[in-house]
Amino acid sequence: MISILLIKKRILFCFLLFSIFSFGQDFSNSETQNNKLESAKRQLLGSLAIDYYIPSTSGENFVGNGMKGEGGYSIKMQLFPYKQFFIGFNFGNTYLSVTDRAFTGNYNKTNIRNQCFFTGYEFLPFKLTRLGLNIGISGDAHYENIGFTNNEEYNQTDTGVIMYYEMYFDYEVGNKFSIYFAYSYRKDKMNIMAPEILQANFNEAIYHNFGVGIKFHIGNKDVISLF
Amino acid sequence: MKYSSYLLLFPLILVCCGPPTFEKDTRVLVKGSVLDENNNPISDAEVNVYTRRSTSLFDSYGSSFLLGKDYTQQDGTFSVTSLFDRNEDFYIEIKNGDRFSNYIYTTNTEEYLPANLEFNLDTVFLRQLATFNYNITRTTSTQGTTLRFSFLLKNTSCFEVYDNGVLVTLQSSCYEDFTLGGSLNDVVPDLSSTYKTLLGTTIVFKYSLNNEPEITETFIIDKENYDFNFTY
Repeated sequence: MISILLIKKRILFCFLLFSIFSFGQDFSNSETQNNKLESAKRQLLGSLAIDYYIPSTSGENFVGNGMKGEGGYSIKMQLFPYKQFFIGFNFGNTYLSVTDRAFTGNYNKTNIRNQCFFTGYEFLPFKLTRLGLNIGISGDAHYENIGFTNNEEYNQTDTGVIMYYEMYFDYEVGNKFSIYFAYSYRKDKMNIMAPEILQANFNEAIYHNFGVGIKFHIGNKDVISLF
Repeated sequence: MKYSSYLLLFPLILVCCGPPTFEKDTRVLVKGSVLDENNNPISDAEVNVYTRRSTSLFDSYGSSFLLGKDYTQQDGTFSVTSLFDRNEDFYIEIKNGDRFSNYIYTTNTEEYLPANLEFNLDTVFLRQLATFNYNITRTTSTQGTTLRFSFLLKNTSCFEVYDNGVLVTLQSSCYEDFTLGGSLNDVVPDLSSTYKTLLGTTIVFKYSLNNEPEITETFIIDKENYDFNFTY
C-alpha cells in the first residue's frame, strides 16, 4: 500500500516537473532563435554513463549509526523521448563497512545491489555544459550482509525500495563524450522486520552520494523526432 | 552413466558447501539483566547470540556463527540487536571472563519465532567462581600402598533448554554436581590439579587407603583461590 502511494507521489512529481518545463518553454518566446538552434544542435537521443561515487551514510537508522560508505559504482542508461526530458535505468553496487554492530547485528560489511528507473530534465545552461535533475521512480535494493566467525563466512540479506533525487553537472569534452559530477540524496525504504523498539532504526537507510563519471552521448535527435 | 552421476552430484556439492545464509529481512532483540548471587548487577558481561550450522556434508558437529553481540550496562541490563536463524541449535551465551559462571539459553527456532521478535531472558544469575587447587602427596614409604579418592564439586555453567519459550527442565542443567577422582599407587604416588568451581559451595572429599572403609571430609570453598593439601 505504502509503495503504491509512493509511486503515485513520484508520478505526480514527474507530471508537475513536465508541466512546469512545458509551461516555461511556451512562454520563453523571448529566447533567441540562436539559442533554440543551439539547443537543437545539442539534442541527444540518449547516453550511457558509468560513475564512481562515495556514499555518505546519514540519519538515525542502522546505516547512519552503524555503517560507513566505502564506495560504489553505477551504470546509467538515459533516453530523451522529447527534447530535454529523459527517462532511464541505472544499476550498480554500493559498498559499506560496519562500524558499530550494536545497531546492525553481527556482520562485517554490506554489498548493496541497486537498480532503479528514473526520469528527469536536463538544462543546457552554458556552452558545453548540461545540468540534470532526476528522480528515481521505481527501484529496489538488495543488501547482502557478509560476516565472519572464526574466518568462516556467512550471509544474510535485507531488501528495500529505492527513492532518490539526483542532480548532475556534465562538461562535454568531445562531441560524443562528457565527464560529470553528481550528487544524489537516496532513501531506501527497508523491508526489515524488527522488534517494535528497534523498528524505527530499521525502517530506512539514507545516503548522500557524491559521484564522478563519464558519459557517452548517443544520437542527435530526441525519440519523437525520429518518427 | 558414470559421468552423469558426477554431474548430478555437482549441484548438491554447491548447495551444501556455500556459506550459511540466515533469515532474510529479520532482526531480533535479546534482552534481560545479569546479577550475581548477591543480587548485585554485573556490568561488561558478554552477551553472544549464536547459531550452529554444518558447513559441509561431512561436518556433523557444525560450527557456531555469531549473530549478535553486546555487553551489559552498569545496571546489569542488556539489549542485543541480532540477526536471526531458523535452526534447531540457536543459543544465547552470557559470560564474564573467568570470574563468573556461564549461562546458556538454547532453543529450536526452526518453527519458533518469539512474540514481537524479542528473546526476553529476564534476570540471569551468574555465580562467582573460585579456583580449587588440590595437591595429594604420598609420605609413607611402604610399598603397595594405594589411595582411591574422589571430589564432588559443582559445575560452573548453567545450560537451559527452551521449547517455544517454555523451560524444559529435563534437558536443562544448572550448576550440577560432578565427580572427579582417581587412584594413586607406587607408580603414580602424587597428584595435583586445578579445577574451577562455584565460590561458597561445599566440596565432598572421599578417600580410601588400602581398600579400607571410605572416609568422607567436607570443606567450603570460601576463597577465590582455594588450596587443598592431603598427605597419606
